[in-house]
Amino acid sequence: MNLLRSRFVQAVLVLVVAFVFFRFGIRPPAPWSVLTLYMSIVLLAVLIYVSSDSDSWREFMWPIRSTLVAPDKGLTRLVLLIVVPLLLGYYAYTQAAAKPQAPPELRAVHPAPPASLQFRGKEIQITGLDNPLRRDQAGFKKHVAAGAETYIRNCVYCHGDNLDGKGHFAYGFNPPPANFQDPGTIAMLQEAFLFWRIAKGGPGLPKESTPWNSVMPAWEDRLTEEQIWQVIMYLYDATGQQPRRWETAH
Amino acid sequence: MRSPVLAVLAAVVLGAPALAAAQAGDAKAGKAVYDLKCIGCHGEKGDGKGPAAELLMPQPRDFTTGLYKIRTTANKVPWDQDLFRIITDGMPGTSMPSWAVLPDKDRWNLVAYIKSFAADKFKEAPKKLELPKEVGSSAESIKRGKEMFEAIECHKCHGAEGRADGPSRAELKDEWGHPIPPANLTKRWTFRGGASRTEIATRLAAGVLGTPMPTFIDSVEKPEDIWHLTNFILSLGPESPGYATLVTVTAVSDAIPDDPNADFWKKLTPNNIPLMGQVIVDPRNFDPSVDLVSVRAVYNDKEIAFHLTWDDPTQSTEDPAKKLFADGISLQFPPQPSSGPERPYFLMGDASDAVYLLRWQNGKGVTEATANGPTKIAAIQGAEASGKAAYANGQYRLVMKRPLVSKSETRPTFTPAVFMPVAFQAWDGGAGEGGTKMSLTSWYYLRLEEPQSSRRFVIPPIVAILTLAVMLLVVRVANRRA
Repeated sequence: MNLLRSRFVQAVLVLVVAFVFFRFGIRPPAPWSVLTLYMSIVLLAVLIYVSSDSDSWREFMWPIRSTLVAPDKGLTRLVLLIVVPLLLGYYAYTQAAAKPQAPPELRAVHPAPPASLQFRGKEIQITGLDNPLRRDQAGFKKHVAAGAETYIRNCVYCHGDNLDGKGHFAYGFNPPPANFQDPGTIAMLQEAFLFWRIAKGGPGLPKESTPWNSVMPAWEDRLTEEQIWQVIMYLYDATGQQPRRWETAH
Repeated sequence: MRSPVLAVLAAVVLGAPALAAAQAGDAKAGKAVYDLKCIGCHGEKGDGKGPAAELLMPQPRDFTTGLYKIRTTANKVPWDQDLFRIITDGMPGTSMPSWAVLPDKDRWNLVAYIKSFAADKFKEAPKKLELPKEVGSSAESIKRGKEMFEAIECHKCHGAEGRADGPSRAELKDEWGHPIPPANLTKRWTFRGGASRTEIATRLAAGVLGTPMPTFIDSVEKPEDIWHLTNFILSLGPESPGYATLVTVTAVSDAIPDDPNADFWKKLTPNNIPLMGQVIVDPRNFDPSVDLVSVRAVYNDKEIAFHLTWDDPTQSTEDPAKKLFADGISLQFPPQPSSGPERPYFLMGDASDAVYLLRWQNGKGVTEATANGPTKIAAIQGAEASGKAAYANGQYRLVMKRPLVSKSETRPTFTPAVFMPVAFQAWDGGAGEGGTKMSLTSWYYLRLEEPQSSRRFVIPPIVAILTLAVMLLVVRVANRRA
């Protein structure tokens, strides 16, 4: 019990508990840079606490001081003098011998769509555009079924049977295919945005979205306007997502 | 049958095996899931003729025959668990994905529904497959396995080293008359029914129904030979391809050998890069033949060399009379490294931005070209590149060399410690691949490592000595104060 009353042991315990909590208690795991920041704050707080009055500070420093000067701690001193430099040397070795990693590809994932686009020579206004097939409520099922067929014959290789971006070509490409089940993709986009992305594909992306890397074909070469709107209906229907609406300007 | 208690009772009464507890599914409920998730490939009638079927290789399963590739039974009838497992895990190397995202109940209902397409085939009860006692792997067992591999003529289809290049390859047809390639035994991660020891042994013992892969339990000399064969197959290749995200070019000081079979190359770690089908420009390639290339690369003060290894079951050169294409492979770089992130379009550039290709074609050797798109490739005059290829047992090995520095605008210069974009394309002429029908990658990075620096041997001792000095100083000061 005496050990627990020592200021030094208390400080070390607080640090260990804080580290274990930050490292394993947070889901998904926090990156090391964040962990380092949190631990610095905890360390600072502990130092302020133990140095709040001179008695407390002396008590905290006592084990450190005694290790440095006490005649009966000679062996501990020797061990520390050998082990600590070796550990730091090993750390320096792992840093110096580390293999470089491929640099990350930074890109805008959802760039702003153009106000209008040329679809096979026809001008289509994107801003404010809604899926024209949604007006045909009687034909909803027919359109979704047609969209499903277009999807499985063209899109499934990358975007996957389950629309989760895990098609059998998916793992070979970077950036990876969009995961439509993810609420961060089609659920936060207007249908007209999808129309633009499907019609113009990778080559139609602005520069900040790295058009040279995207494997998405420009589907205007292969699909009709109606087929693209049908696929879009299928994407929302099959994932149970709702398209984002245009804000009414008032 | 909604209650789990009833389901367990039913399993006990019907004498279901002790694998995973089978649940009795509801075929009607299964149809609802089937119509949403399976119909696109397997078709409304379960005959494997969904709208996507014609584009898929291997073809989707025809449930109306009741024949299932992957089963753990001694007769032709699979356990319900066998069907459940394939729905759950999918089939590697095919278009069948894992449906683990569906609730268990849905998957058991699907099992009941797909069985209903061939109800009469399931009247017979599944018969338990008894595998012989397991034999662990050893040099001796692998040797015995290799003997058996030849004795029961596995190599006729799978090839002498297992790379699916056996002489019977071209004649193989499945139950429905579609051509079906043999498995490449060096790529375990594409095994349809799984790559564990037991799974491989089970495939050997029970065969793969609907394909030319027969049941071997009675053909081997002794039942335990199944395990020797399994151990031999496991020795043919790695467990997983361990794909690279960066191609590292090693610095060397000696001359670089031209011979692709030289020991020099075996000592280098391969960077394994996956290739996918080109599905942007017609004709598209939905079933790419070359799915992996292993890259080993080195440079010295004069030149850079790439050693490429890839599997191709058929060696072919261009033959317009027979409509045959040449096998080939190419490395793609931007003509000049750019300072920003911009680079040419990954699919061989476009009209405004060209790419540089360092390529090899069977019969033509190593050449350099500039491309402004996959159909606009122009050879670069004045050859600077050279190379040599070797083909054996379904595998190409190729060395391509080039000077490190280039003064021309169309060829890049390679600089150590700079990240250089690189992409790959490959063609298996024997599989009808040529032109835009190819397998490819998007952009990767290549990096020439700095010439062997002694940094990692110098810095650590300095750090250690400095730490020791500081610690000694602290001890001294503390003692003086005390």
